[in-house]
Amino acid sequence: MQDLDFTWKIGGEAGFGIMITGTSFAKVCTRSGLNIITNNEYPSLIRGGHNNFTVRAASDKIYSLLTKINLLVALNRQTIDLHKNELAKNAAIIFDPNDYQPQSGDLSENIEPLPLPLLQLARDNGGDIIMRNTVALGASLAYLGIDFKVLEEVLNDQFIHKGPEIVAQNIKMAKVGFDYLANNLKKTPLKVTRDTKETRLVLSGNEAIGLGALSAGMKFFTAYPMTPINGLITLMAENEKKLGIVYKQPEDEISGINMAIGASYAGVRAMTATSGGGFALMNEAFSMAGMTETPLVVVLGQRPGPASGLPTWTSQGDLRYALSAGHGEFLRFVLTPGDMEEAYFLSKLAFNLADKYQTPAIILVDKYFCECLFSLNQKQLDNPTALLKSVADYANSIDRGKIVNNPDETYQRFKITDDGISPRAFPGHGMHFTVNSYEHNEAGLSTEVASEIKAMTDKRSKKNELAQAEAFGPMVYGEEKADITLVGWGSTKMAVLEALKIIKDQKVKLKVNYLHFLCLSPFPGQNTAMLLQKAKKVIDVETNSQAPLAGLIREKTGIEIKNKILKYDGRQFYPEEILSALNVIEKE
Amino acid sequence: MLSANDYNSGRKPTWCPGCGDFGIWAALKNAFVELSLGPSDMVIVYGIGCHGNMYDTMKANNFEGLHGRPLPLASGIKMANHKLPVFAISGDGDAMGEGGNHFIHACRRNYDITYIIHDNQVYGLTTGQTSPTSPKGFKTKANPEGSIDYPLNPLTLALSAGASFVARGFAGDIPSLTELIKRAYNHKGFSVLDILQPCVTFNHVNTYQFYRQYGYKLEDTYDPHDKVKAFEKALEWERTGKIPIGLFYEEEKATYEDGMEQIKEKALVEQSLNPDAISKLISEFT
Repeated sequence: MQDLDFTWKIGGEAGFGIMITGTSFAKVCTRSGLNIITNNEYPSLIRGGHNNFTVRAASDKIYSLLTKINLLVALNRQTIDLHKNELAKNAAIIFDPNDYQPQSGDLSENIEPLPLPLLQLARDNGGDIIMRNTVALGASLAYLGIDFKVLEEVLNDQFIHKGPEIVAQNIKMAKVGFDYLANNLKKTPLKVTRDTKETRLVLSGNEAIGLGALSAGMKFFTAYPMTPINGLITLMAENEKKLGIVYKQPEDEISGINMAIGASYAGVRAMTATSGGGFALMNEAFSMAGMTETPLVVVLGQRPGPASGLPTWTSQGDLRYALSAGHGEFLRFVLTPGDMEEAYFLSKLAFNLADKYQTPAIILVDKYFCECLFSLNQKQLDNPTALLKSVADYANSIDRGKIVNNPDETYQRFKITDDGISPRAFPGHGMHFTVNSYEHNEAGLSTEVASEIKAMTDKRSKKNELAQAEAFGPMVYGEEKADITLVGWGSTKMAVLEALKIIKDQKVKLKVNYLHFLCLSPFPGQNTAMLLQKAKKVIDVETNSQAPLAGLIREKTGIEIKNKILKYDGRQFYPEEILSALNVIEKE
Repeated sequence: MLSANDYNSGRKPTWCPGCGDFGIWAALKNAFVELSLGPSDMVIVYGIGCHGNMYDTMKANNFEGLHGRPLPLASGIKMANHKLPVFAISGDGDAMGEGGNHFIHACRRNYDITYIIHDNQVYGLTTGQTSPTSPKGFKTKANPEGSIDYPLNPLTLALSAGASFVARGFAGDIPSLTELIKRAYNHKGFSVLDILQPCVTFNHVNTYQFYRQYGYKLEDTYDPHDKVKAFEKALEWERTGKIPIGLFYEEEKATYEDGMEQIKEKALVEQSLNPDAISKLISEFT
């Protein structure tokens, strides 16, 4: 197969199946042997407003989207107006000539218009306005020269639960579009031949986290609906009966986290998920998980704040919040995966850490990460990349920590031990015991005695010292000795690695590497200091306006990072933006 | 044989002498004995307030949670291990103020949980402020001129939200309260037991004498299966000043746990991980 690197975008009014069409396109690409990355942009509403879905597909390994589009599918005029500046040289546009006739000056000369009477083709073949997307999907794949059979399979898998008639109708619509474009295309289509050597999974961040949680033995999940974690709800709700797990939609986030704590206390691995506003409601109980030493995993999907902020856009603005959420002093883990493989393993790891240290663990992600799709070789879930190996090895073995089965009369839930971790028991299995959100003695009974308060605080603090050994990262990507060292966390990794790849491909002399942080509490202070002391010029890259990672690094290592590349317009980074910012800083 | 003393942790209660909480504690212990529920056989979840301080004196599997949140905590425990008897204990501030939202949703879901509300119409632990069930005109530190809020009626709220067992008890009548607690526990579904609990320190209106003067036991002829009649009875105090005590409403209907197919055969906590099913699910993401 020829080397292919292609970006496709479909845009239109919300409510016209943009998301499902984008997902189908992505799956046709992966089943044809391509790697994909996607993003969807949509306003916080159901009908009307502008939606778009972008897929980058390539035969090489890719890390991120690029800014330029090669094929734009415009289901309405607005899509052309909004996205024509993103078109690459020699890009093409599929549009309905009955909606829109390009005027001179509308599009630059090297853009190829591909007029396709979407609505008419749909209607002529027994469809209606909501089938335009499927006609356009078929046409897009004809442009790529993809085997139509692959699309048939994908549509079948996508719609079979709605019945064979719906599958047949979708295939018919796609075929009409496919044939129309194939017959009217002036140049030869790109040729994508099927390569099925590896099985590619197509996972969103939500799904990667959810599958990690399920394979860690999570049995109880609560989440009040909130963008961007709704994908986790769908995953758990669709599979709860098949897998013997429980998803409970609570009346609010306060209830959700308290239910999860109750389930965890009763003995099952439990998780809850939310975004900033919901997490604010959860904070009191989050603190109770710390005080009652109850394991709990919280998925926190960031979006721009403050307050309701931008519900359907992305941000990394809640790092300091995750690190300090909840009143009082207690240990929490904060893990920040940067790709789907990390999300899967860090999700599993979070359950081990929460159980081992009997404390909450946060998986801190963002809207872009939660909802973008990313292809992944299925084997990577069994054989993780070398950098992640030791973390994944521990994550793969289920560690439920210190547990006493059937304790006797001498059992004390909060017994003071050398490492600060008291053996945990489950109610209904042996001797009764008391768990208490008030400060308590070893038996769990409340105390206001100074010596007991200090002893219990020291017990919990010991866990902080012990947990320091669990800190890992930052992972070093790129040259070991570099002129410029970028630092970042979470989903920023994807755009930065793509930028590194572009720099390498350009064969310029500049050597750049990247320190990817994926465990921010406990903080890997020694390793960070060692790496940064060796670095020549350091640049902090974050999707927020206050650079909390740079602040955290300074707090933990004393090293100040002056150069920053920050983005806070609700959109994720593109590699091109990082490169141009880098050029500016480099010349300073 | 169990005895009421088997539920004493050895700590002395911190309630004021004469507090209605003593009566509720005694009735609960009596009911546990008669139900043969040992301290290790059940879980009791408490909110924060004078009522909640019972966890220190009660010997049992206790979980002292957060103010207003005992019901979500209790329902999480119940869903994870529905074979465990679960009691949730709240005050009126806990149940009707901070936890009001959880209360209505617990009623409509019909978890098999016994919910005991210590209703003293005042905030005791914070030394006397108005509560959601304080009568209009009630004078406290928070409303020195008298409250201008109308009170919430926990019984009509529970009835309209779908609770399948709704009763009112009186802390000053331990034998009758013991019977009501037993009935509430034996009811399969969400049982709401609102207990009139005199606060001898901060509520000088709703006293033992007051309840003895105006309270009366629901007649034997009263049929607790008619929801409309139950509403009428539940409104009687505000309409006539007479205070009916006893079981207002009981209905047999499927519990929340009955609807959970996943736990038909085994409690969630007894089920182990099925790696093959998860591998199969993962391979569906192609």
